Amino acid sequence: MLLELKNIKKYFPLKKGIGHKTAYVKAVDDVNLKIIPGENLSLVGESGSGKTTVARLALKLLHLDEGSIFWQGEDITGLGERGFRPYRRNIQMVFQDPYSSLDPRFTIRAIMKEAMTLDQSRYNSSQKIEQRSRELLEAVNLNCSILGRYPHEFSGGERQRIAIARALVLNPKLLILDEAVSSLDVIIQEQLMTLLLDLQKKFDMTYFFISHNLKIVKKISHTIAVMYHGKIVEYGPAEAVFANPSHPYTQQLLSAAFEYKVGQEKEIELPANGSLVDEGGGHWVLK
Amino acid sequence: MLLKIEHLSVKVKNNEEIRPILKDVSLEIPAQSIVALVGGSGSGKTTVALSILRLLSPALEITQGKIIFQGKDILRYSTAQMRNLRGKDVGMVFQEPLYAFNPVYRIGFQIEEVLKCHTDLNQKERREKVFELFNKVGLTDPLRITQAFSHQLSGGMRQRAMIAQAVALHPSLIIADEPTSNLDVTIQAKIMELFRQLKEELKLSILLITHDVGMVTHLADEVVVMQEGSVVEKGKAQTILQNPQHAYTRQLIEALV
Amino acid sequence: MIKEPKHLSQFQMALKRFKENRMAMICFYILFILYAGALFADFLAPYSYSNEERNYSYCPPTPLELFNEQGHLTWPFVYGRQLTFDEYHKRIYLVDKIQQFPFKFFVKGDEYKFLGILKSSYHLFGVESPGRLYLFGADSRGRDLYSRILHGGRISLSIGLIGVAISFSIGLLVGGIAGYFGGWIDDALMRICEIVIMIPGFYLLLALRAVVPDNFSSLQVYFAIIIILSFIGWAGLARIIRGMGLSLKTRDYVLAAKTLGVSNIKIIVTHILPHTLSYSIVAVMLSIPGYILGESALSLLGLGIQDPYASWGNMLSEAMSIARIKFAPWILLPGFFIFLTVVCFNMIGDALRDCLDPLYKGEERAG
Repeated sequence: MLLELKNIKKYFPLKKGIGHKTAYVKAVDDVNLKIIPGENLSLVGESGSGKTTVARLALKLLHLDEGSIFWQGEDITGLGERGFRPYRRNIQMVFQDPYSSLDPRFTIRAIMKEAMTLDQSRYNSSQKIEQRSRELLEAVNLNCSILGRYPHEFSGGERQRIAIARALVLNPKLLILDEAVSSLDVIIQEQLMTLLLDLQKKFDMTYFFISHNLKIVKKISHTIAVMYHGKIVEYGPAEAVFANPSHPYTQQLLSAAFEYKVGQEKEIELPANGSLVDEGGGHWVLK
Repeated sequence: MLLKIEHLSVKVKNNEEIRPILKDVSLEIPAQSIVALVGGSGSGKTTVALSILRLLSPALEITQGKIIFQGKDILRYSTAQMRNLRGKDVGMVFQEPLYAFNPVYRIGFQIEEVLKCHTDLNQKERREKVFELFNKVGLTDPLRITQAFSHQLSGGMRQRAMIAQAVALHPSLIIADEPTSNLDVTIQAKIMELFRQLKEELKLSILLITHDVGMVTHLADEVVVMQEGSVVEKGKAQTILQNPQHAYTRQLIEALV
Repeated sequence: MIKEPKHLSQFQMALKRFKENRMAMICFYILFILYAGALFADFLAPYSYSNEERNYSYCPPTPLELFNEQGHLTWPFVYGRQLTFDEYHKRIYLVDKIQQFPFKFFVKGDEYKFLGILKSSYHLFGVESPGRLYLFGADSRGRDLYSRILHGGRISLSIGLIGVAISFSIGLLVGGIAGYFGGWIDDALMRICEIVIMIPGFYLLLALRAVVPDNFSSLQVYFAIIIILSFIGWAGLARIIRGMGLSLKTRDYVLAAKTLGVSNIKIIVTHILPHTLSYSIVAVMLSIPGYILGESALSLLGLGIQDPYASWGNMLSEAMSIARIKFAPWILLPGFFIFLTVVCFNMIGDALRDCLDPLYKGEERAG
């Protein structure tokens, strides 16, 4: 077991009050997820479903309100920033927007060097830094002559590849990709997904993929979790979920992604005290 | 034929090293039909749209070609004539609805402004027209939307509001440049459904610019495929998608299948 | 699409645009000359700042004569001058054509320590005594104004730079920390800022100056003044940097740095503060004149640098009477130099603001 999120909750206050009761948005409402080494998990849902919040919570960029996080069996919920830092090398992230995830004032070389912060003892000379940077840029099919350039000189697809190279510096076991290809055109999406599959074999990683489009994650997922309004509504092996979507929201997502069809017009109601019901074969649905 | 582009070429001024942005592009948009303009980034599709509306950056110039709209070559139009054309005969829907609306004015006010400039409806009639438009595009709470600022609406609603603004003057052609790229799949499906409706009800044509072949399959009547500034294939959507002739078309169709 | 020149950082591109701005470059060269003059004042000035000659009190500027009595072109020289009084007891300097003092290079004059280390008494130019060379005229004690302006520049020009360096550093750090961390740290720091901003600047200046002990030497007073001016100046910058920091910390590259395990201070210094530079540099340029004027105001009131040391401010205190200005208008020259410096800094600040603006329309971009 790589990462386990148990009953996690994150609420955002709507109004900041001095004294009086504030209303909350339940961004993440009692979510349970497990990531097993070698099996990519895709978390799918619309914007506002809470999926990006889950990613940030998993990386401890946000604090949990309730629940616990386990890394390789160890409880890391209570760790502060300093305590968690040595764990960061194991979980890395590629962000959605290639235009804002690379600091425009940094050269590519500086960006790669920053990624080696946690391993400064190993990469302690400019030669070693250079060598490691080259290795990774080649792995993502980029020429190492780009080291002296600035992010604004590259296209969206190239920048995402640089972001991937950066994330791989410390050989993380888990790579979280938050809508990493959504803002690019289809041909580049295809190229990047193929690259990611190659890299997985080379670097022995597991992916936690977050997306709103089931079409993108079809090739790469072993397990699918569907999120709606902060709750997991369906969960199971990819083939089962794609072949037999049980929850109405999953069906809506599938028909929109593959057939570009609108689902029912009515808003889907979530049961007040729902719980996940096992449909067999590890396939769970919220009822 | 509603719009006909003949041998349009656009290049960067004073710079021979960069390849031309558009090379001898020709395409037709019949009345009451949805034509998809497909290609990857850098293929020149947005430039085609901007050329029709003559909103190209001053660094570019049109070196040859004709754009014939309802029988007249609009490349010969004066600035005043173009201003009249935009909005009234040709509407545009952009990719990023957040920037299409001015953030400091309410949505209702901005659409009413369009009506104020081009029609002589009085204030009450304008307000009613806006409500009517919102209804048509599926915005169910027109009063709230009229009073809202653009950042207060969700992405899907903003896009619908922009479509409302684009059809406000009953144009015969709408140019939609990657209208759903920044939206979720479910909203995308709804917007596509809206386009179908508007084509039937308002009898308009849509030039749909996209990189998503799936959208083309389910929405477009005809398709034009562009690569690096040139048209590589065009024709009826179903024909091309079932039997692509050009390698690039095949590449687009096979992506993410 | 037009490809931008490769390998140029945004900062380098801005620098290139700056160099293309004629006015800004002229102002830059003027300031360069003024600062160079101040640095090498000992050598460049014919006299030291305290070289008095009461017989030449308020002597008008002594022009360099190029033609002798016969009307022939000759090596520049200066006539001697004799002080007398006319029937209204007004000072008149009679030109004595018999005494001619040639203009000389590398004249031996008052002793000084070059850059504080090497002893020397050579000056770039001058005339041999008993002749006096007054390029800009003399003040009440017969001191050469040109020399005093060069020496005075040391104080007035350096106070601007050092003062701004201190307040700029404090402002950036405080603003960066407040903006990045938010929460109670932000609240506490910003309340302190507001208190400092609230107090009227000039009164705070006077109050702080009053606290400085009387027995401080001039050098200590000089540093005290710099510290006082910096203390007033940092708060405004801190507030704005904090505002920028608040929005910058949500950028993806900041989150990316956090996931890479970069420490908070490093993130503030390498990711947040550099992005505030386009505002900060301009703010710095535009606030240097404030320091120069602040020192001038203090010195004018007799609270700053004291005689015999020269600063442009205290030189102007001599010019506070209409009568003196009427009969010896050259004593206003220090004011002109203050004006020139302030204008140049403002022009450069303006030009920098245009150059660093990411939406600068000076270049064409293809759609």
